[in-house]
Amino acid sequence: MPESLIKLEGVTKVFLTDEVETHALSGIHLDIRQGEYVSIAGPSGCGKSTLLSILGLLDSPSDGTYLLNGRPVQGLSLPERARIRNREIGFIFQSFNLIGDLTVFENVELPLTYRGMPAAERKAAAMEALEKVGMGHRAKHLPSQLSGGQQQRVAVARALAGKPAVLLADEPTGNLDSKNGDSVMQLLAELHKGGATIVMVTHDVRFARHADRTIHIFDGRVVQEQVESDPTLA
Amino acid sequence: MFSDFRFALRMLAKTPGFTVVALLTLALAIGANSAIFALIHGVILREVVPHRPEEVFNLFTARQGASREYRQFSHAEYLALREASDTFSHVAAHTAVLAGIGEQEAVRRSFAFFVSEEYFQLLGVTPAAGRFFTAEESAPNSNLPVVVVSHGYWKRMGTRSDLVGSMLRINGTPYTVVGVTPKGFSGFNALLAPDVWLPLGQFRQFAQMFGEAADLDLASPRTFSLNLSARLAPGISPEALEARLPALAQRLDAVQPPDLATSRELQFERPSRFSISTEPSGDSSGFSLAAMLLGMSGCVLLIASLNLANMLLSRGSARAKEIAVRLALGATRWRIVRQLVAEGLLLAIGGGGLGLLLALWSNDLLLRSLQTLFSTMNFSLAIDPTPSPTVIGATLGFALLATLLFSVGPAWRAARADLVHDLKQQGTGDSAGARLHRFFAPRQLLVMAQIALSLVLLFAAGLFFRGALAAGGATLGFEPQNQLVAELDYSLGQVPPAEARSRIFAAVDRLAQLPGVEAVGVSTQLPYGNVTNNARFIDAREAASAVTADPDAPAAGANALFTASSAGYLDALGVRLLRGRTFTDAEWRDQKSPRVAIIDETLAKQLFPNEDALGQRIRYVQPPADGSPAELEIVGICAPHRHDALQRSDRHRVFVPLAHAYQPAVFVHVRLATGERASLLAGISAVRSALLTVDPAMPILAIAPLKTLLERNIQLWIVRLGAVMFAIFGGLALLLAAVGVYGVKAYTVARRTREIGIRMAIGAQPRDVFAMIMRQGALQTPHCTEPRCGALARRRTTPRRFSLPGQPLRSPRARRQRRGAHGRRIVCLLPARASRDARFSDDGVALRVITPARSSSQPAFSP
Repeated sequence: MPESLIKLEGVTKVFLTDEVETHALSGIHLDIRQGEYVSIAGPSGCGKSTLLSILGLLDSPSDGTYLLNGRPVQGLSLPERARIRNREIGFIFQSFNLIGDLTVFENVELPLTYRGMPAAERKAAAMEALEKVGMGHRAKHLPSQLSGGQQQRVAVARALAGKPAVLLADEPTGNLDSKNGDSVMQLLAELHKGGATIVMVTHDVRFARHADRTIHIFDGRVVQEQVESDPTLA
Repeated sequence: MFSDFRFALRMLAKTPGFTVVALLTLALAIGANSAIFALIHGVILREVVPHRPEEVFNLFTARQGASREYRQFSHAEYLALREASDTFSHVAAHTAVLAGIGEQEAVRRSFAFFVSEEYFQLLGVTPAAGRFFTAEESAPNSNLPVVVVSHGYWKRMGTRSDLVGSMLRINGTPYTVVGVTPKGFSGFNALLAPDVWLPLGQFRQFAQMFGEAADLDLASPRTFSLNLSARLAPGISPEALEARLPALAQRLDAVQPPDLATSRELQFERPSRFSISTEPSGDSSGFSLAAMLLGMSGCVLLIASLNLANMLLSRGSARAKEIAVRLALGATRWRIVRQLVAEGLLLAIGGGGLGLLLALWSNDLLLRSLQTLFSTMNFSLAIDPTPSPTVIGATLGFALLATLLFSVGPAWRAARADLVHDLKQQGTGDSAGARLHRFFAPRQLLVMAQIALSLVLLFAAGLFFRGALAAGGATLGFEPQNQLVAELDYSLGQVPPAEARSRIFAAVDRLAQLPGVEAVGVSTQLPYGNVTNNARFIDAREAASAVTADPDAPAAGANALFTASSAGYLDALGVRLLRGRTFTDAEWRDQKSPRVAIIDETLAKQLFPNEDALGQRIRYVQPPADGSPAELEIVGICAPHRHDALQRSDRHRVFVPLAHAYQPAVFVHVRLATGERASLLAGISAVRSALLTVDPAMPILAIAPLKTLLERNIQLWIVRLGAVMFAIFGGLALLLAAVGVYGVKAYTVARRTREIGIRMAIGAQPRDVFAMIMRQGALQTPHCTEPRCGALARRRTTPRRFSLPGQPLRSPRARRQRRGAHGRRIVCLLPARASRDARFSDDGVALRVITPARSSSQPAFSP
């Protein structure tokens, strides 16, 4: 059985805003193995995006332990967190979050630039990622010249370029029509078949089915875990 | 790093409006600093002695025990000190005169320096062409007609290759040009470079410019006409020199004429950059002015940087999502800061380049303006307006400073993004925002600082303007309206003094016959002129007690501006004669007539506080060098009148007949019946014709209305320049601050669109929204117009020496503050109106945005 890639133990997240304490996550336990495709589902405001932010080291838990590749990461310094985000995590956002002033190629190359990779290697890796998502021919275009589906493919290529340990996708189809949504889900499935570990947040049960396992969250707690073959998901 | 600059260029090109505004802002601010620095570098920081300047000192001598009585050195004293080779490696003698260079009508008055043969060697310069003087040429009365010309003069002559060896007429005498000084050489003066240097051996030929009776025989131990400078011998420190001064002073005592045998003391000081004085004067006023100018331009740089910081903060907010994406992809905060600072650096370098051009242009303009003040004189400005490596380096430094000031803070702030929030950014408003926090947000504080600083500058401008107005409108005590003044200088030709004097007399007689002329007078000093002549006088009865051995005893008598004039001078100038009479024709034309004087009322009261001064006798504290009688009978008392633009009180005046203190450089005052411009213009040509009728070769330097000449007073020029500079900088600063306020307010309004929409949705009227925006601006205004700003400006920007006639400071400050506050409210008004008008014109805009975005992090609007 593959090793745990991500392990959360009793992770809690509390937001303090204007003297109001909001418990976004409460005692989350989670174990995601290498090569697994996990979806996190739940209604808006249930805490799934907060969970993904903590998994992606964009945010820190208020309490609990987060082990990434067996290493506790919840208390790391900002530069160390940035280094891990750059090397071990690939992000796919709902709104693509491509930088409009950079070309498609430069967007994909960007995380490799931050890694300090030599230019020739960067170019090869970025082009390989673009080819993998079928966007190699649009390398010199600006994001504004692409359709939504194409932009999300570029975003996937950017996430893949650095060969991260895990891909974190936050509502990757949320800004896409159904056709493009299906296409992106297909792409993620292919990546998963190629061995990628994927954690995807979605509130759409239809897309959650693509994952091996779905974790349901409600009011900041894991309320149900189901594998893809589980007939109750149907 | 290269990719950072490449991306920065792309981002700047993408926002041309922002880039142009930022570049212009920086160009103005950096340009102002570069211009000021270039001037300060040229005048204050640049070493005028190019070779080991720390070893060079000026020497001064005073009578021992009465340190106020300084005088120049005799040639014998110079030789005595030069022999002290264990203390000085070189001692050079020098003195300045005005000389007429050229021939016929092309003759122009120029600065000339007489120097000993060691002068150039002491300063460590070599000639650009030819050679400098020999010992033979510099020996007293050697009378070898050779001259060294300045590089500036050579340039004005078209850089002739045959200039060395050619003939140049100076005061009508042919001189052979033997050398050219190197470029930029100005002797000890940092501002003005003389046109010619002459050997000491020629000094006696220029005697007549010091008066008919003057004898400039340097071989005489009584001729005290030389300033001395010395370079210390190797191994001698200033402290060692200090210890040796008494011994050196004894060398001076040994060469005194028997009847003048008083003990001398010797002093030394670093060479002054501005003055050629017989006593230590220092350059502290120049340093104070430099500090004030740098402070002023620094304020503008700070304001511009604050303004840009504000713009970048807003830009950073607009780019929050991009920055968050970069951070999410693994960029460190330092990397983000580096990228944003690269944009700032590009802007600063671009602004610096433009600023350098601006500095060049403005300094050229300033130097031209300075030259017009001395329009009757030829000289070269020692300041080189072309940017030196130091000035370029300083400009780069200002650019880097500006970068640090305006870009690091916003970059650091931008890099400290709320990742989760910014990644989901959907154009929502501020998520946080207690009122106090919003009020004291960095942008608001920066704007308040900008306004406060700009008000400081404007307040200072107000003081200068007020000073200029006060100086310009002060009661003069004479009537310049109807007057023309002709400036003549017979020292510029070869006319013997007696002949020159008789031609001046004839000119006065001829001018008096012109139709429309009411009075004509001649004097050796022009009111508000840039050259003054002082002498110290004492009640003749107290002369015996005037000499005291106590160095702390107050100086006896009173200093007064000393003017030799004709009988009709006071009448022509329009000065009231209060008692007694003016000079008779015989007195002002005849050297042998009894010695008489007219003094002004203030001097009369000081010298004779308990009796009428009329009929009393006064005495020169320093007897005339020509041996003429030292006592003068007071025959008239005139009303006090000004000679100075800025002094609070009138200066004492003493007038003596022209024949008793004749000088070949005189001002002929012609009072016309009317002061109309057409009459004055017609009068100029009539006066010129009349003068040339008397003497076709009369050395007329200028004929102009007296009012025009008053305007050329250098002190007035400085005050007006100060007013203009502060006004420009203050206006610029206020403009930048206003742009900043507008930008921040517009940005704030835009960010609060959701909030405004909510307020309107629940019933707020447009006027309520308008009032809300205006209220915040009004609340911040008092912080900017805090009275201490004005007090600070007054303390920092009013030079003590500019003791302007008493003016209450309260009113201009209050006015400036009110004006600043009013301006701020206006710039608040525009975004406020825009926000209000938007509600009316497109009601849907604000109301639509209150519909929450799906991923909004604001709980109040989450479904």
